[in-house]
Amino acid sequence: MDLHEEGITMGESSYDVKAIDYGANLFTAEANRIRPKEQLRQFYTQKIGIESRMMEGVSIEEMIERMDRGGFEISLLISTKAGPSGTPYTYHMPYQMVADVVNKYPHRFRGLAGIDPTMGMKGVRELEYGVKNLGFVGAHLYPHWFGLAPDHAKYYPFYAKCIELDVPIEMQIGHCLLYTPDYPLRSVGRPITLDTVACDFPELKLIGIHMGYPWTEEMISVSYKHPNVYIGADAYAPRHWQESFVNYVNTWGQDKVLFGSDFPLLDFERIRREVEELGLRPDAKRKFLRDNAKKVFKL
Amino acid sequence: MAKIIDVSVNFRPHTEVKFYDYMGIRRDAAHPLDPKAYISEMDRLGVAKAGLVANVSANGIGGEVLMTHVDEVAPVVKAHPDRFFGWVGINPLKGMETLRYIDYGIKTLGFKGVHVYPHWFGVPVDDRIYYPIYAKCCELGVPIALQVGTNTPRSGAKCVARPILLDDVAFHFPELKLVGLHIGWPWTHEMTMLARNYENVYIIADAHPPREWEKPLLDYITQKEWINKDGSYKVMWGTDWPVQMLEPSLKEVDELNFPPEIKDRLLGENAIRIMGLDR
Repeated sequence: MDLHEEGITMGESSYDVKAIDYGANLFTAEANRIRPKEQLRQFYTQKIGIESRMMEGVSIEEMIERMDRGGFEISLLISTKAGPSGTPYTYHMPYQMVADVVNKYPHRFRGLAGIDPTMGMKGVRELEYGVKNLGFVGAHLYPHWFGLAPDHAKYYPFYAKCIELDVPIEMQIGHCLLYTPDYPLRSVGRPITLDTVACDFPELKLIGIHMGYPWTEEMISVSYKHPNVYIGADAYAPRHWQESFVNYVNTWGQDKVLFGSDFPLLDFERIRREVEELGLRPDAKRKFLRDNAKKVFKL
Repeated sequence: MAKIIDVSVNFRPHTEVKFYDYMGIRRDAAHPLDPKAYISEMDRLGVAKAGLVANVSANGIGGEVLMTHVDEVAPVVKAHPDRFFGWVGINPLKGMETLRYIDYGIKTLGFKGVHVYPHWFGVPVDDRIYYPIYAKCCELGVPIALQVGTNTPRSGAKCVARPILLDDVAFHFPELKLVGLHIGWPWTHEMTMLARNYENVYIIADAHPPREWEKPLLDYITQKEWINKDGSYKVMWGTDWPVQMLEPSLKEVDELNFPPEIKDRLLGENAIRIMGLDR
């Protein structure tokens, strides 16, 4: 499906660049039935404090309206794998649930294949199925949900498979939060661990999302070093981004950065407004909001 | 009498390694496998088939990689498909290139397994770099054989593959056929313990003269241990030619006086089943 280029108006948005969001979550009532109740209550409601109305579920149509208000053309939807399946604290969002939404609104969404390294070859085959049969454009990984740093051997078959399938993998780098006190997770994703992965797999397109916070400098160094390591800026509101990162986006790292929402953690309209307020150079802004994602995910 | 399969034959000895000096073996006496001569030797001794290894080693860790390419071996296998099958020997350090090489050797050339001499490359066999290789073998449905005992003496390699390092691998890849080469010596008992503990771990009893096979291996093959229910189905005999030669090796196996059905499994039936030679 071709992307819209300049001059296409979407909804109420008047932004000049139609943004591509490299990572958003389905938050429909249907999707939330899969998420653990305590996680919804303690993390989304208490910790993050998203609009209480949203907790009843955000329909796809409402999500699209929100994307329109923020000037987003496309969101990549994550078929999240948050931990091994079969515990009261973890969940897998089925690939098919994401694929159904993408099929219904092919102009607005693409799918990302979640990865659970404990699934071994079954997981590798599912990833292959997601890309080849469901048309997913990349893989997605939450290392902290598995207690294994990104350079752990168990991920390596998945990395090799991403190269074979010619798709990028994005993964949360930096600390992680407490999703529920009953199931604490260690922060295993230091940015420097991606250095190891990139040395072992120079061909692998890696996107460290959440900016590697609080090790953003370390994330910058790894992405600057390796041609195929990118930084994804999401989950933290742009007005809180540290100066050195904004400078990286604006100047020396302008080809190595992508923009995302991590919806519903952050709303499209707000993050777009705040990015516009950063006063980025037009070329750098366009790459950050759109062109880099288009290139990396081959949209 | 069932078919006899010599499961491991090095296609071309890498005479550059210093082992030849240590052993006092003349380098000009070492030669690549002569298929016709080997087949006539096989005929004379009643050996049905042999597994040719496109073997890869190095002149010490970090030294020149000594590679027999699968393309060197493939014409011989192709010319005698009823007498030879191929092993894809690999350099485990080459990342995606290694995976593509395996794909080529198995899918395009029809070789039957993957083969590694880890000690020449200095990286333990449970290291992250091996995991995509194991996954590739699962995908292709072929066994991987790894030398898991001592390294070759006085040749600049070091021991990075005790049998126990396969424990995690066997656990994480239950569908992978993991084969310990060279009996795991001197950790023979560790090797048989692994083969006992995991359905997917096997042993190739080669490189050591059968007259020196130790009690843990013999007891494993004959299922003498009280907790061993299928050891006779999990060991494959081979020569590791030119390290051992067909005639003395077979004679020494005879002299071990295995019950006939167990000897048949050891000498051929297991290789046919595990390596998929009847497919």
